[in-house]
Amino acid sequence: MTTAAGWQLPAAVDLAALGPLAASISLGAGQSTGIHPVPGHDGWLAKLYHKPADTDAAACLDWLIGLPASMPPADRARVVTSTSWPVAALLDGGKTIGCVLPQAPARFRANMPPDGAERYLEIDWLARPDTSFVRRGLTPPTWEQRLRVSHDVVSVAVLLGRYGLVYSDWSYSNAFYSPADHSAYVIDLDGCGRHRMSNIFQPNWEDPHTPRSSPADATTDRYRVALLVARVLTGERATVHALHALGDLPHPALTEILRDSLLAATPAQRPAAATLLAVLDGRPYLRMPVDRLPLPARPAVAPAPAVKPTTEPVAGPAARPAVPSPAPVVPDRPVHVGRWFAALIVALLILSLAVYLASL
Amino acid sequence: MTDGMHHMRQKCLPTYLVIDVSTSMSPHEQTLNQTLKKLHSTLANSPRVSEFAHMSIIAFSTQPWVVIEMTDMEYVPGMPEVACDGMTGYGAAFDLVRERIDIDLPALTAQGKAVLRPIMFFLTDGAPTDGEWENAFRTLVDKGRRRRPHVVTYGFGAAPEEVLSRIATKAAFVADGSSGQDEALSTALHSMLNSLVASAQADELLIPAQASGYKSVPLEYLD
Repeated sequence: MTTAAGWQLPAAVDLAALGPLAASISLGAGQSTGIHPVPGHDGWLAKLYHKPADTDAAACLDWLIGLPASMPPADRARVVTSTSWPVAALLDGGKTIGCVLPQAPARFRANMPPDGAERYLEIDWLARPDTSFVRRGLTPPTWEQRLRVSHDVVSVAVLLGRYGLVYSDWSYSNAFYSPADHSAYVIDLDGCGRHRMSNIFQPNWEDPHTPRSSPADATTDRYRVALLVARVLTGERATVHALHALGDLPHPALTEILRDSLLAATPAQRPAAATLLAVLDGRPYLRMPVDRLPLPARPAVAPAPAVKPTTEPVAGPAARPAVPSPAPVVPDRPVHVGRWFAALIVALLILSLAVYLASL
Repeated sequence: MTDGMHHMRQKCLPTYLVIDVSTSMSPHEQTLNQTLKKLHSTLANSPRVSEFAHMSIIAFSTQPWVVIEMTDMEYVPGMPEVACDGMTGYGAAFDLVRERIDIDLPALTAQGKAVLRPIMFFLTDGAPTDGEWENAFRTLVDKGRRRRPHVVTYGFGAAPEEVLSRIATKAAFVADGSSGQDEALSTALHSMLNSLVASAQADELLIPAQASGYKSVPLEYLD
């Protein structure tokens, strides 16, 4: 395990002192131009920012780097096992131009489609219905496994909240999960702000109460963590579908606390991550009253896509035989659709019976 | 739906990939199918992109037809292979895209999606062989039509630059001859894919400013 104690250099290092960096393991995206293995320091990565951090951001990074040393052992253990927490600032000419982070452990890697190459398993994979796994020849995660991943994610959120940190960037790509033990690992912790920070935009992660131009705060994190957990638990990606699918979870208290977070009429009413964790743990918790926005109507389910013959269907000149089209696809809708359908059939049977009896 | 509810709707960019599969494309058939397969594989394994950029594939030669109806490619198990034959009928292809847009967009809205203006990527290696294509195109992109698509064109082989520049509303690319036709075809589809990936990240339509092996053609508007 790579721990801060394992980092052999000071908490602020000149980039030049690291020597030539290896090629980036990540495409430049978000706030960084690349993430490079640090030569001679296995398990450590140099993340280089697009532009030097301003004074406040640099001070916050320094504070973050020093924070675990003052944490109680349980929190420090969570930092090590579940987060890529920065251990050093990278300097150039006295300016902070990046940081050093631990590389996620190997247990978060697996051979995955489409090419079978080994890669980190983004939590994105879990936000899919079971049929999506089966189609790729993968074993779908069980409910308990989805719960376990969610538990780790929420535990990190609780940790951050305890120290007044706002992450803002909760999304499909910023957490990995392990197919071996279904633990989770949250990356890019160096971007955390104290109490508030810029509202990092990710499509389909918009907090309805936090405009893009407004800073993110603890309530923004509560919404995004709840959305991530809802997606992981239900396998539904569309927010409205996930909200409905929560009603089918075998855990009514969890359903309600997640809906409280996602539908709260005012952000301040969103339950804290600690409350969500208590529910996941089955511990006693205090549920405050929440004024919810109405649950939006469940939209129509997308029909199975039709895949047609591949040559011109009408009398085209000398149409050659086409490769057979794949079998029709049943859209990935979880069990609850089947339940609705069954309910509909039962209702129709009852109605038919009533009509029949009335006609007697 | 309140403003808060509106934010819960997933944005969706309906994307029409319209491919020329006329006889002149026959030499490139294998490349076309390989590239389409890769396109499918990439999209099917990139849910963040495929859930944003729903796609329909329309092939055209003498007549057009829908190869894959508008969908999240995640739900398509494999890409059917395309066989190339026939003439190059632009007009009927534009008519079919217009008809499909009028079917697909309401369906996406009914699925609870916030639907963006559709985009049509038009790939061809030849000049239109039908005389009425311009009327069909005018109708498709008529500013009075709320659902008119953006159009990006990729031309290679004998595709006439002046026609591509008139069809495109956002960008027109013509292979510059620096690479083979197979490579140009593959590059065009990769360029489209990159555009979709970038658009998904930005949550809005982003068109590539350039495509490797292609020169950008100034747009010429019909009106």
